[in-house]
Amino acid sequence: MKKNLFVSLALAATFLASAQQKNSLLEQSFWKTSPDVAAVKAAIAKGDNPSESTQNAFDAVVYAINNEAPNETIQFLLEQPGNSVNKSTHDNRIYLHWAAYKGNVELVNHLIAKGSDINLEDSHGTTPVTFALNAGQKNTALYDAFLKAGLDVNKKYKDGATLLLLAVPNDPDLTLTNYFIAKGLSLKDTDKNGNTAFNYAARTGNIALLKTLLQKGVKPTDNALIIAAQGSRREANTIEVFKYLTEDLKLNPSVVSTDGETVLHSLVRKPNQTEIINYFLSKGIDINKADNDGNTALMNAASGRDTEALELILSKVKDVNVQNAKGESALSIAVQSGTPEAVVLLLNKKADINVLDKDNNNLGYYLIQSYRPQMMGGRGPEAGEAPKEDPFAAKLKLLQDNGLNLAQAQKDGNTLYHFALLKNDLNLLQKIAPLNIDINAKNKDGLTALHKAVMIAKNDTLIKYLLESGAKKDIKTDFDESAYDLAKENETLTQNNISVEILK
Amino acid sequence: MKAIIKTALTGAFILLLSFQATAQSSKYKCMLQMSNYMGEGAYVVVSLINAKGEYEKTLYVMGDDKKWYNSLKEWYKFNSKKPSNISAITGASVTGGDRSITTIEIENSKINHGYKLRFESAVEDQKYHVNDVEIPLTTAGIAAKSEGKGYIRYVRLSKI
Repeated sequence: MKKNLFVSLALAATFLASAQQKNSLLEQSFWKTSPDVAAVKAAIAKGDNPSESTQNAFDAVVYAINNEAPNETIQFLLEQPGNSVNKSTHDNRIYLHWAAYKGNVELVNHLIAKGSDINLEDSHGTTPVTFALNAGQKNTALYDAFLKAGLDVNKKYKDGATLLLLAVPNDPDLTLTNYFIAKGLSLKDTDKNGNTAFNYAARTGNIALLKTLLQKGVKPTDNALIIAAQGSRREANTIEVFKYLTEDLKLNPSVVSTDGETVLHSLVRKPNQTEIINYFLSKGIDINKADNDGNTALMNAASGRDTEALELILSKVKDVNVQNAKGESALSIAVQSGTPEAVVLLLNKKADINVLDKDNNNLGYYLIQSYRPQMMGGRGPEAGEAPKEDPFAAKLKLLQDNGLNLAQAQKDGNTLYHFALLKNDLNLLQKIAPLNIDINAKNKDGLTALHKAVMIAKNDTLIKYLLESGAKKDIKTDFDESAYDLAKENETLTQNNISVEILK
Repeated sequence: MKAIIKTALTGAFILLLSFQATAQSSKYKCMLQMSNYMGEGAYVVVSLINAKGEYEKTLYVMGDDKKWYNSLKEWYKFNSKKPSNISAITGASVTGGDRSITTIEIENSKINHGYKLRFESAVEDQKYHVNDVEIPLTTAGIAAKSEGKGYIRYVRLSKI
C-alpha cells in the first residue's frame, strides 16, 4: 500500500513537471495559427517563457519567423529580454539567418538596423546571405539590404565561392545572377577548386539553364558531374542530366573530386538510382575507388534508408570488407547508421562480423551508437502510428545469431555498459541487460560503468538502476576516487538537489 | 658528384635532427574532466601555443567528424592555413561530465620557454570557448590541476 502511494506520488510529480515544461511558444501548432501580438502576450501571461529554447536551440522568435508569423508579432518577441539580435539559435544561426532564409525583407532590414552581424557564420560556415541563396530566395531587395549594410559583394564563401556562384543553381532566368553582375561580379568567376558557374548550376540539373550558361561562354569542367551527382539536399538529378554532361559535353564519367570521390559516392546515398548507377558502371567507372578518408561507394550505400543501391553495389564490388581510415567496414557503417536489412545483406555476402576499428572497437560499439530513443509522441503524424520493428533489437539479434559475443569487453576494457551510459537512457540499459555483461568491469582508464554513470548523470535514474543491477559502489578509480566522490563533483546533480547518499 | 655528397650530407643531418627531436620529447598523460554542461558531446582540440601566442602544433583532437571542425573557429583557421595529418591524434568527442585520458607528446625544449597548451572547446548550438583551459608549459604549470572556464572542469597532466 505504502509503495503504491509512493508510486502514484512519483507519477503525479512527473505529470506536474511535464505540465510546467510545456511552453506553447515552442509548439509548431501555436505558430501555425499566425498568432498576433495579443495571442503571444496571453501565452506569456500564462507563464510561457518567450526566450526559452528547445533542445535543438529553436526559440519562439525562430518559430515565428519560419512559420511566417506577422512581423509585429516577431518584433514584439524581439523586444523580450533574452532575445537579443545576435542570440545563437539552432546550428549557431542568428535571427538574421532565418529572416533571410524566409525572404522576409522587412525583418532583415529591422534586424540589420538593430545591429545583427551580417557576416556571422553558423556551424556549417553559412552566413545569412548565403543561407538565403541556398534557399533560392530571388528577391533582389533582400540582397540590396545586405549590400547597403556594407556587405562586400566580392566576399568569398565556402570553397572560395562568390555570391554569383551560389545564386546560379536556383536562378533559371538569371535575374539574380544578372543582379550580381551589375554589382561587379562576373560569370567567369570560379571557386578555389576551379568550379565554374556551370558546375555550380549542375547541382540543380536544369538543362535549359546549363545550355544558357554554355551560350554565354561559361565552360563546364569534369567536376560538374560530381556536383550533379551530389544534387541538392532533398533531390536527385535525372539520367538525362548525366547523359547530357557525359555524351553531349564529353565530360569524363570517371572524374575524381578533390575529396577523392567518384559520382558513385554521392549517387548511392539517394533512393532509386539503379539506372544511373548502372549507366556509370557501363562507362567503366571504378566501383572500388576509396575517397581521401577511405570511404567507398559500398560504405556510403550501407548507411542508406533503402537497400536498392546497396544490393546493386554488393553484386559488383570486389571486397566487402574494405575498411576506411577510421577502420570501419561497410558492415560497421550499416550497424551504426543503416537498416537491419542492410546488415543482413552484408552478412549474407560474408562481411566479417569480427571487424575492429582503429580504436579496436568491435561491432558492439557500433550497435550502441545506432541507438536512437523512441519518439514519445509529439513528432508529427507518425507519432500516432503503431510502433515499427525496433531496429536496435533487430541488429542486436543479428550480431548475436552470427556469433559476436556482445558480453566481451573491448581491448581498452570498455564494455557495452560503458558506451551505453553515455546515451543517458534507461531504456537502452534495459535492452542490453540480458547480455550478462560484467557490470563491475573497469576500463583501461580505471573506470567502472557506475563511475561513468555518476560523472555524466543528469538525475539518479541510471545510478539507481546500476546499483539494483549489482554495481558495486566501493570500487575506486585509478585516481582513488569513489563513485560517491565523483557524484559530489557532478554540477548537474548538485544544481538539481539530487541526493547521492545512496552511493555512500 | 659534389651535389650528391651535399644531398647525402644534408639527408644525414636531417635524419640526425629528427632523431634528436624525437629523443628529446616527453609523453604526458592528459586527464581531461568535463563539467556537466547541457548539450551534445564537446569537440576539444589541444594545441601548442608559442611565446607570441600563435598556434604552433595540434597535439590532440577530441571529435572525429570533420564537419564540426569549423566550430573550433580559431584553431580551424590555423589548421586550414597549415593543414597537418591529425588522424593519428584524433579521438571521440567528450560528453558532459565524462573524462578522457589521452597521451600527448611535447618536445622538452618547449618547457619553461614561454609555451602554453591551449584547450579550445565547442558544443553544437552553444558557445565556443577559444580559451577553455590554458596551461603554461612550466614545471609548475604542468604539475598543477588547471581549472576550465567553459565546458572543461579541469585538466591534469602527468609525465609518463
